[in-house]
Amino acid sequence: MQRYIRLFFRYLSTDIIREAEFRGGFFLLLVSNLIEFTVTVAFFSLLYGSVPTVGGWSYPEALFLVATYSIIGNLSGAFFLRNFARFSEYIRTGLLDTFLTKPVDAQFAATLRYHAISNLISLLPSVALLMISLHRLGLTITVVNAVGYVLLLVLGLIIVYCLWFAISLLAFWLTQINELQELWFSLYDFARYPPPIYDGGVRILFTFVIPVLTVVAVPTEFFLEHTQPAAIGYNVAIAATLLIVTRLLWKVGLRRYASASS
Amino acid sequence: MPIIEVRDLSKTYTYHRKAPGLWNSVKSLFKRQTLTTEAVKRVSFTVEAGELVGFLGPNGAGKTTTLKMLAGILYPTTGEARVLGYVPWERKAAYQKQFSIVMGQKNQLWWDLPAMESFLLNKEIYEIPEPQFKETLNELTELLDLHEVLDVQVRKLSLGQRMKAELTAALLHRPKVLFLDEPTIGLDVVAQQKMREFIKAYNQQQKTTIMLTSHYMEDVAALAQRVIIIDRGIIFYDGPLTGLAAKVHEHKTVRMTFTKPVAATDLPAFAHIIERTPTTATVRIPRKDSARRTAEMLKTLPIDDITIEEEPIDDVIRQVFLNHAQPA
Ligand SMILES: Nc1ncnc2c1ncn2[C@@H]1O[C@H](COP(=O)(O)OP(=O)(O)OP(=O)(O)O)[C@@H](O)[C@H]1O
Ligand SMILES: [Mg+2]
Repeated sequence: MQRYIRLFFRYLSTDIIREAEFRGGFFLLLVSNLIEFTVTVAFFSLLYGSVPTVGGWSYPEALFLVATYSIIGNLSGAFFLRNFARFSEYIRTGLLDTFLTKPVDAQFAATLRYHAISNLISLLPSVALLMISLHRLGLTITVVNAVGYVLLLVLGLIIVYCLWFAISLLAFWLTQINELQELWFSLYDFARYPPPIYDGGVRILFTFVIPVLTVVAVPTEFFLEHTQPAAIGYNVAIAATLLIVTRLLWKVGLRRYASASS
Repeated sequence: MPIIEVRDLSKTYTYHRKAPGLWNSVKSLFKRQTLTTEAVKRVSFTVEAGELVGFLGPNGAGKTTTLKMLAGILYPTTGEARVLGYVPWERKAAYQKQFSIVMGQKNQLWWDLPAMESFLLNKEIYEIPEPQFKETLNELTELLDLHEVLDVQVRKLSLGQRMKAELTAALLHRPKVLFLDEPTIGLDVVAQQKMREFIKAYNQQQKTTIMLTSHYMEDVAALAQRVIIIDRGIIFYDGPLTGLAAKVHEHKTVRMTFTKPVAATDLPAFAHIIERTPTTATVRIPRKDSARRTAEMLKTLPIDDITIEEEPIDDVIRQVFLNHAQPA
């Protein structure tokens, strides 16, 4: 375990070296993240300009949700994106070979190798928005709230990792496609809005089958003190199940893996 | 006990013909044309500790596939293999710490980073103690003359420098078994020579067991005492290089210089003339009884000088491939 933490930080440090090298790309990414963020916030302020609540959520509550959505989005962008974006290429070109011959868990190496540090910087506006919405709500930060919120964020990240990984794993069966990443982004988009806006079928689908809604909603509701323990327990169970299921799928996929000629 | 034991190892690739795109991919999940290639067919061999084995065969023979199974990258379709006592495709960390595979056409080094960063990463991955890491790295950079390029991004290195760096990365943990798949591919003559010398010296000093594939006959002739030749997934020769010539060629070449002119008709009937001037002749004589026949020529002809040659090894191997390529 300790070794894996050390390795993770070594990966991270190599990426800092790399990003320092490509400063142009770094700023471009930062700017595009900021623009996307601004557009989201603008959309919500427009929406609430005409209605007082959406699905029972007030404007500052929705802002808190958006901030949480964006924090998880940026963290997963920082730690997962560059790996899953390459995953189908690893399989198609046989680059996965390199991970399979080294004495490090190959899933760890293939899915947590690369990081986009610039995404960490775009956390700043998200956290600022979080503070603004708290101020508007007149809520204060307590130790319980803060620790619980952070733990639930981590739990959410684990679920995001698993869902994203599961989608990427399809590459073992569908080698010639690059659209898998888009599929993930459009799924995650659903988590941006208060869950009550979705009606029956969609809500059930994204809560129980592909649980993207709870990822963002559960930490938010916990902080805003609407949460029942059942929702937290549900997320814990989902995260554990998904970790096991994706691990199995990965093993099954590896049996199919044929590397690439040469 | 052999270090590498392979028994009846087979690999059949199954793949599908499919058109690109998401929709076609999804469609192909349900209805598709399945194609198979039997890349390796019931291959068996053993390799002893410290051996350097040349693994030869024409394109598509199954060399890389075999090495990938031994490295645990691919699962075999059927058959067994043990390397250092481990089943490779179980991918035990204990095994992975004791071998390396270097593929000439694939780089393991991180492209955008200086080679040194990749070495440090390997130090972490293989849990190499600091003193051993320093010592090994010094040794290797010395032997491979790699000092100046350690801090240059890999993508800026020449192919030769990159291969040396790849090899260094693969040897830092002092593997007991080394698989080299075309380590000299694309290198210029000088770089090839250097690489060859290094591999030979390394094998002798470290007693590392090495399996090497190459399409350059010079590599094989210089490096391997033993060769395994595979074609279309089947091994059809396993033994010393010298024995290969005996197996393929029924003839030896004899070059003679005479003290006075000799007519073609004076040469014995069993000698097939390849080239002749009045005072020299190059003839081919049957390998069988070659000693007796040479003695006979020495007695009957005014010989000033005589040499008996084996066929050059690349001719031999070319001959093997040609013979084998002919439909049975
Ligand atoms: N990933 C793959 N999927 C399908 N077929 C493959 C794959 N890799 C190799 N093959 C096929 O298996 C056979 C053996 O290939 P392999 O790469 O092992 O040959 P090789 O001896 O290494 O050849 P070369 O000298 O060209 O490197 C070939 O017919 C090849 O087309
Ligand atoms: Mg090959």
